[in-house]
Amino acid sequence: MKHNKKRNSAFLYEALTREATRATLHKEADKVRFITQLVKENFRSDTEMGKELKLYRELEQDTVDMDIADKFLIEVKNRHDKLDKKKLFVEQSNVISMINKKLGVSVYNNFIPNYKHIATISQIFGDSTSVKEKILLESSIIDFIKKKDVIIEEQSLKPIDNIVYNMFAKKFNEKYSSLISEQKQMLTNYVGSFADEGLQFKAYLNEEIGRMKKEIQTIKTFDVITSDTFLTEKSEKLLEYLNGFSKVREIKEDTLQKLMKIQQFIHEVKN
Amino acid sequence: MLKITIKDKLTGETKELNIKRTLSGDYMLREHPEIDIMVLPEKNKVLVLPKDMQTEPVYRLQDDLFKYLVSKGVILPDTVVGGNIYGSLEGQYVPQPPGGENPVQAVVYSLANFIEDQRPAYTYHQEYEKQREKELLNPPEESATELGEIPQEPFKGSVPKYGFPSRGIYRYNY
Repeated sequence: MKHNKKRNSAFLYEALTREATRATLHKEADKVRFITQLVKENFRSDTEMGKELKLYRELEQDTVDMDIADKFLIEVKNRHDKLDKKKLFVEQSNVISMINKKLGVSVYNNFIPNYKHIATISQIFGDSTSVKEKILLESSIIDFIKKKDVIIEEQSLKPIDNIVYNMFAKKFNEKYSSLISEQKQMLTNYVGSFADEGLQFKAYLNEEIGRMKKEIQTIKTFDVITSDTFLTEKSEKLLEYLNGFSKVREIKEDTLQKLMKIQQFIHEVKN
Repeated sequence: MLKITIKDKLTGETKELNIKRTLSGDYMLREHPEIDIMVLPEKNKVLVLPKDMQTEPVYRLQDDLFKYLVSKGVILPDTVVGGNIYGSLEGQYVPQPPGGENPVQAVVYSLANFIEDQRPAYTYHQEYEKQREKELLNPPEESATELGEIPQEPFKGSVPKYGFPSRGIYRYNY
């Protein structure tokens, strides 16, 4: 089922209010003023977009009794049919144009928590949806109106969608699959170090640097290293760096990267 | 967070100590205001780190701690060395004492005693600092003048209010 979110008044309203919040946090006063003006002008109660938004709001409630939910939906649909569609189209085009020109298309990427719901309502209002689909969507909306409390309870038990979780795990693994186990362990300790002001990470580093020193001492005796003066010099430098680590007071990201490179070097030479 | 209470069988005195146990099985003692102590059972090691800067008094404190642990026979004297990271000092204990005692318990008990011994000193020091600050900010009547705030004179002794003019001293004009 296709849904053009730019032609959805409720979506435009939500996206704009979220953009205004973002602009307020970033102290962009001009942007906030512009969005407020745009919303005030186009979502007034006497505009078609304002009227449509009001109908969307009606279907977001969960206070409707079970017996009258069907009638309620029919009444909302009737009122939507009475809206001046041409005028609504012009008003929406005006808002879309202002967003594109003044704010940028990133506004449409703002996260709207109830997007799925308002998209369903939009398809019920639209004429392009087939009869079968429309009936199915209407029944889901009626269920939503009746059983909103139950749905919220079920959602709270299942916080992350399986697809979202799988995508996250896939992307994480793709990004970090090339790391060796020692590097992964260092990253894990570093990430967790904010909880205890880095105390456990320091303890881990103390041991890990000790291990790396020993490994480099061993590597220095390898034929591959002893036969090559360049590699011998570089190994000496690595050892010097690790010995001087006790003078490094603050562990920053670049220090961490260097240590991870040394881990990689040790791993490669040994294998 | 574990709260350990140590009771002296003879005197009946109890000592309480807050300890954190990490998921990797290490113990963190963070009660002391100057140093953090970690007991690493996997490595049979005690690691002491400064909370902030490694200064002379902090180093002395770390040194005192290890001397105390060595004197109690908990840490092997020849294993006390500087660690691999900033301001650290570490020492090792015997993994399996011949008497079958739990070495971690002995280490934690000794550390608790050391922190407890130190407590009056650092509590006194903290209180002294607080009191000194309070006196400076709100001095008693006898230490204050009756005139309130006295503006600084343009010339106070031989030092001008805004420092010496640097321009022209050596007949240079910048």
